[in-house]
Amino acid sequence: MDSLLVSNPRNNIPHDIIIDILTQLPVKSLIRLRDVCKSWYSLIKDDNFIKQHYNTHQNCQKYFVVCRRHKIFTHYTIELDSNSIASLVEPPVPTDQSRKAFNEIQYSSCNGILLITFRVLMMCLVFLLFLPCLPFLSRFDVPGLEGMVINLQSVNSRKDVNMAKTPEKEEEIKQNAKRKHSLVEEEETEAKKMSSETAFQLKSTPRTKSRESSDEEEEEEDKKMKSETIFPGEYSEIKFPETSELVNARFGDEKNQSASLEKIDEEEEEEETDDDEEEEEDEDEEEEDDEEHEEEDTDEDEVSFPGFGYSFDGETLSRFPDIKKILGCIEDCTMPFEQKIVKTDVDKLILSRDEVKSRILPLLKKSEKSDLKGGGGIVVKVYDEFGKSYKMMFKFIDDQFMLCTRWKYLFEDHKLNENGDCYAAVWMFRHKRSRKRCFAVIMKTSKTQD
Amino acid sequence: MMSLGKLITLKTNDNEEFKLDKTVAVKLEIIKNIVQDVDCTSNVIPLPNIDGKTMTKVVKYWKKHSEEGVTEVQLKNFDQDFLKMSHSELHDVHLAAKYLDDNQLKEVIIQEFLDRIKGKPIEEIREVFGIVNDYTPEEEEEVRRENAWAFE
Repeated sequence: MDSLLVSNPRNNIPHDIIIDILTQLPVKSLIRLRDVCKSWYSLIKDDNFIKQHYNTHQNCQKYFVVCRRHKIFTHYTIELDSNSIASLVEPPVPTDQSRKAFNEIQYSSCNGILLITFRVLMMCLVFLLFLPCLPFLSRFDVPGLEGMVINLQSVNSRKDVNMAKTPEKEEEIKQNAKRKHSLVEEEETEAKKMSSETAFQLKSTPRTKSRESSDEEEEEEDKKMKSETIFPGEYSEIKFPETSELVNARFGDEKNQSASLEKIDEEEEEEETDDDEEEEEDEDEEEEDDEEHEEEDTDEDEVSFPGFGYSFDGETLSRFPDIKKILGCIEDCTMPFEQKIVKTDVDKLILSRDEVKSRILPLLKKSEKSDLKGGGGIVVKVYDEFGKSYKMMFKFIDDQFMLCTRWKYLFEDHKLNENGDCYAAVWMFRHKRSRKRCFAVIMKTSKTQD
Repeated sequence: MMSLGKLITLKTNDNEEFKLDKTVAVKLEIIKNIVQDVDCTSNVIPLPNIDGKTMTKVVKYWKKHSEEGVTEVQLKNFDQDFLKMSHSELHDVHLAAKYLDDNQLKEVIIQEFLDRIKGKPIEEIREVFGIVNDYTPEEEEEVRRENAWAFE
């Protein structure tokens, strides 16, 4: 102590005072403060400091809350000792609302670390770690998950730590998990039924096919097998697990089945109505094949993603925009969101601010963000459901995010009118080859669309 | 043991002496320990880590906070005035409080530091702590990139 004070000239604060002060700060501030100097950087990374920080905040009444409403899980953080406002957190688990998705989400916690596990493909468990100090350890290599976890971590609140720590909280989490589990089991049995049905269909249809198409069919199956094996690699580039892929794959019991999932989905509806009309089916199949070839023509070297069961019913948004022309070129795709087209959206599409902030902004590069903030905007390509592209500007004007310039052409091309009930599902992604930012906008009317 | 109302003498490293009522002084763990060990009425307790200027402030704080009949509001106002000092003085007081093991004072000062750096740009934070930026511009950019989300 003695020498500490004497040897330290004024203005040069002893280390332990700094520690005292820094341990009081929320994690988010600490991350920022790593920028102050090298010694702070290493201090904040230091194991002992992290422990000390954890101990300091041990009694903070912060909870991580999982709510389930209908089939949607929402996640909040809530601080009981302040004014008890729950703040919504970027979902750490995919928010696919379909009945089959994510049957086994489990939450566990220990020492301020929240572990969320859920299944993606049949065998593959996804681990999400929510650490109070995660950014310091952010190099842990679970493919594709980092972005998500950090989003969760960056909750805007005063104390970002120790969310999963107190006993009550663990209890809460357990209860939630249990509740979820039981609810989910029901769904699972239902889903299994479905899956055996589809499996049956799968086996029966190809055999009833005419000979001419069998070669093509084999080829097709081959292709699909390929796409299945390639998929995990693809997956690792994606920020968010694939919800609809999961829907499909989760219930496949055999390789074969999951390999041909695309087919199941496409056939499923037909099967229900015309079991006997094999010829028609064959035609359908052939058409399908043709389409696939076309796709190959446009994107030779790309492997197409399997179908994601996209439907126009407004219930399930597929993980990726189901636009054949560009499916193979999608990278860094955001989770989709849907919004209603309103009167003011004739010459520009104003995007929901919350959705943009939570989904799109995290994927943008710093330079892109500053372009956006500067008012200049980003040049983007916007694809419609037919794969037609429009060059637009993604701008931030008057506190609103919008797609403008050629939006009106898209609007006109789709013969939209101002009063129709029309919804647009929006994805943002990066084109694999051109590296450009792209949007996919799929229009749906609330009535049936042919 | 000693009777109430006796004075204890504290001596700083620049030989300034502070006479404190024992009831005030034994509030502090470290002094209480010394008092128990030594007969303090005759002896002076040396405080080798604290200089007179800082000790004056600390004693002022103690006296106010052990006064009877002081309202919360008055104390709050006092604290506010008390904390109006330069960064380095604040550090000295903090160090003294740490040495004297006065948790209350320590907390007050830490809170003051937190308030001073809250929402401030990095440059000002460096100023508060008297830190010289030792990153090269490239390194700084690198760290900033790592931190990107924390800057939003």
